[in-house]
Amino acid sequence: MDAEFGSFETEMNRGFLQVLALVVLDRKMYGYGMIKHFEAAGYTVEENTLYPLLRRLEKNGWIASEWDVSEGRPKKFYVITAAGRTVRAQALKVWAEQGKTLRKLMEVDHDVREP
Amino acid sequence: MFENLETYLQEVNQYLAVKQGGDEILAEIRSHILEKADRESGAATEESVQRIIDSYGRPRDVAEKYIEGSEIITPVYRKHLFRYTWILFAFHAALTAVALGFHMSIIMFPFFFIPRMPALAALVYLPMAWLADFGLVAFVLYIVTQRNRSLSLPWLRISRVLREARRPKAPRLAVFVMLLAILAVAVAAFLRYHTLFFYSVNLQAPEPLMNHAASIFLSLMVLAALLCQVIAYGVRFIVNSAWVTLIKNALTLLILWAIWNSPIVVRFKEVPGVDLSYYGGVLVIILISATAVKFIKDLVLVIREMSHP
Repeated sequence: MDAEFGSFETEMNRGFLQVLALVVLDRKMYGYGMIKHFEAAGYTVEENTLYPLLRRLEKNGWIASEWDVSEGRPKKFYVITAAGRTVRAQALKVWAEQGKTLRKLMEVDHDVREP
Repeated sequence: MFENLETYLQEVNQYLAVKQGGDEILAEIRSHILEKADRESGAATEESVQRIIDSYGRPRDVAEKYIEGSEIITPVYRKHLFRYTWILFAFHAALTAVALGFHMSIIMFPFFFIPRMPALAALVYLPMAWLADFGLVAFVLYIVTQRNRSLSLPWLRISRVLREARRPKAPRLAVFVMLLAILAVAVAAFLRYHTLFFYSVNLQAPEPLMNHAASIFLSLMVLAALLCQVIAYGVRFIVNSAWVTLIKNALTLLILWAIWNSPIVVRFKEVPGVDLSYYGGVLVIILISATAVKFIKDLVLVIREMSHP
């Protein structure tokens, strides 16, 4: 049951993490910094999940990246693009609509309410 | 540089089937692991780096997350892969049967090469041919997937072919009588003239179309084929099944095979400007092709009868 829910949660998180990344990348951040930032807000993300996701967002043109080699160790920084802002606005709208639908259905159907 | 980290990255790289940016991915993972080791253990050491590596995930799992959605062959083509393979293999098998029947090699560049071989060798050849066909179709689907994933491939509806293959029509007495009459005339002609192939129509002194031995052999073959037709048609009054026509066409194919492979040399009467041996060969090929098509059609009907009795 736990393994099944793990897979279900991964599916749910996939879209959610994309929205989160687009939200926090309003300012330039690098992967490790993002993970710590999420953790501070109470959300844990595995590093081997975040980096492939950032790569996909970049491939779509929603975020841009550059290597910073000014410090001792090179770091890859990401920031949202104009296209990414448009997508983020649309995604947040969809998310709000989905939340509204879910709340409505939970009010109608008492069986699915949290105990 | 930490040896354990570089070994880990090399393993990730083995599975990292991305078109470009592979080095950058590895550089980012390296940067992340070293920074995490620095921050969480004060300084990166072999031990602290190893701890981070252990928690980062197996190299294969790490690489897999980067290549999600970039399939070798898109899953929607899975059914196409097998259907196209079987269609191609059916063609391959039919050509193999022809090559075996006529003791010849068949080359259809660039996909088919069926060597001249004994029948037993075909038992080894055909499974290899299936694998080759599967590989060819997989290669084409791979190219299609990589180039244009939205392309819609044609779907050959075998079920429609099965539906459209109708049962044999009910036999008619008039046709049966006509077939019987043709057989009777042919037998009578053969008994009297020892041939069914004439060059002239002078019944008093008919001129044979070919040498004596060939004339007798080919006449007997034609009589055998006619007899098959008559018997099969007669049997259909009792049992009108695709099995009957299937067996009849199989026997006809055997007769044609015997004609094609006969060691008897056929020498046609020389006619200026006309190569009779050429036209004779073409006629046999046409008859074989037409009978083979009928045979396959009956085979479809029989399979249908067996699967939906």
